[in-house]
Amino acid sequence: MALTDLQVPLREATDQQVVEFAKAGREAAYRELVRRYERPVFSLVYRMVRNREQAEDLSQEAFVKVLNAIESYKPEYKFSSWVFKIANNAAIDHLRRRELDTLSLDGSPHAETPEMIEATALQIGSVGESALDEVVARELGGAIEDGIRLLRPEYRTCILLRHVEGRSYEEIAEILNLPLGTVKTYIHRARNELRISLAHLKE
Amino acid sequence: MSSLPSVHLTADDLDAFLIGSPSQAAREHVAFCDACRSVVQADRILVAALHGLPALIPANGFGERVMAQVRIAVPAPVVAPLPWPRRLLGNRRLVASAATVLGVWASAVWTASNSALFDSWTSQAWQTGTTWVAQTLQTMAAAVAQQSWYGTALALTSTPARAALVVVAAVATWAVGVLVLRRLVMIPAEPAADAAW
Repeated sequence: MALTDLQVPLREATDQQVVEFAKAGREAAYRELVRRYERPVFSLVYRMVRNREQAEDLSQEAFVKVLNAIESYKPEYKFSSWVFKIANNAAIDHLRRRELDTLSLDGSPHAETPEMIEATALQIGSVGESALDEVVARELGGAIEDGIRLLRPEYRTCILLRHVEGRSYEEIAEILNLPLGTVKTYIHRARNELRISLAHLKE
Repeated sequence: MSSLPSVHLTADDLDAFLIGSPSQAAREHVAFCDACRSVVQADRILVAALHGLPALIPANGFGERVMAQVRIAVPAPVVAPLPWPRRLLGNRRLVASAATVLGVWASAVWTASNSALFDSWTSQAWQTGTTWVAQTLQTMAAAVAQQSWYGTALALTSTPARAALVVVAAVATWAVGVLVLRRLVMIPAEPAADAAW
C-alpha cells in the first residue's frame, strides 16, 4: 500500500494502516498503537501477574519489543494477535519466575498507610454505574477476579482473551500457538472451574 | 472440577448457547434437563460478568515511558530507478559478455569476407614462426655442443644401460633434494592445545 493512500486520520485508520505509517517513520503512529492497546494489554498482564508495578513493567517491555520490531511485522497476521502474544509470553515467563500474590482492587497488600493504599489502588475504566450497582459489580468482579487468579495460567490467558477481551477462538489459538481444539478445551474447563468457584455467590 | 456427562450438552453446545445459536436438539435437551439448564444459565451469568470486568488502566505517563525506549523506524530512502541504458551499462558482466560476443561475431564476419588476405597472413605467420623455432633450436644445440662437459656427458649416455643409470641417479638426486628442501622450509607445529579443562 502506498503511503499516499494513507491520508486518513490515525484514529480512523485500521491497525494495518497505522503500522504502515509507523514503518514510514511517523512517531504519531507509534503513539496511536500504544493508545489502542495499552488498556487491553495492561488488563491482560495485570490479571495474569497480579501486581501493578510488575504488570506495568511487563506491558511496557512488550510494547517496546513490538514497536522496535515493527518493520518485521507481517501484515497477514492481526496486529492485536502479535501484541497479545508478546505480552502474554512476557507474563507467562514472569509467572514462571515467581509465586503469585493475591489481587486486591483496593491497593497493594504491602501498602501500610492510607496514602500508599490510595496510590496503589487499581484505576478502572468507568462504566457509568450507579453507586449501588458499582458496589454489587465490585463484589462480583472481585469474586471473579479471585476465581481467575486460581486458574492455571494457560486457562487464565484463554478465558481472559475470550470473554474479557472478546477475541475469537482462532485468534487465541494464533496468540498462544495452540491447536484450536486445545483452546476450546481450556476455555471450557476454565468456565467450569469459575462456575464452581463462584457457586457460593448464588446462596 | 466437575464436567458434564457426555450424554448431556457438549462444550460446543454450551458455546452455541452463549452465542445464541444452539441446535434444535440442544434446545430440546435443555427443556427437560435441569442440570444442563442450570449450567447454561450459570455460563450466561459468568460470561456476562467476565465481559463486564473493567478495563484496567496503567499509570499516567505509560505511553511516554514506552515511547522513550522506542526507536522510530527510519524509512529507506526512495531511489528513483535509472533509465534503462544506464541500468544496462551498470551491469559489468552483461557489458563484458556482450563485448565478447560482438568481437567474435565481427571476427567471423571479417574473416569470411577477406579469406584471401587472411590466408596470406596466416601462411606468412606460420612460416615465420617455424623458421624462428628451428633457428633457435639449432643455435641452442650448437652452444651446448661447444661446452667442455659435453664430451663427458655424451660418453656417459653412449649406451642405453648407461643412459638409464644416469636417469635413475638424476631422479634420485632430485627426490632427495626435494625432501631436504621440504624439511628446511617446514613451519614448526604448534604444541597441541590442552583439550581438557
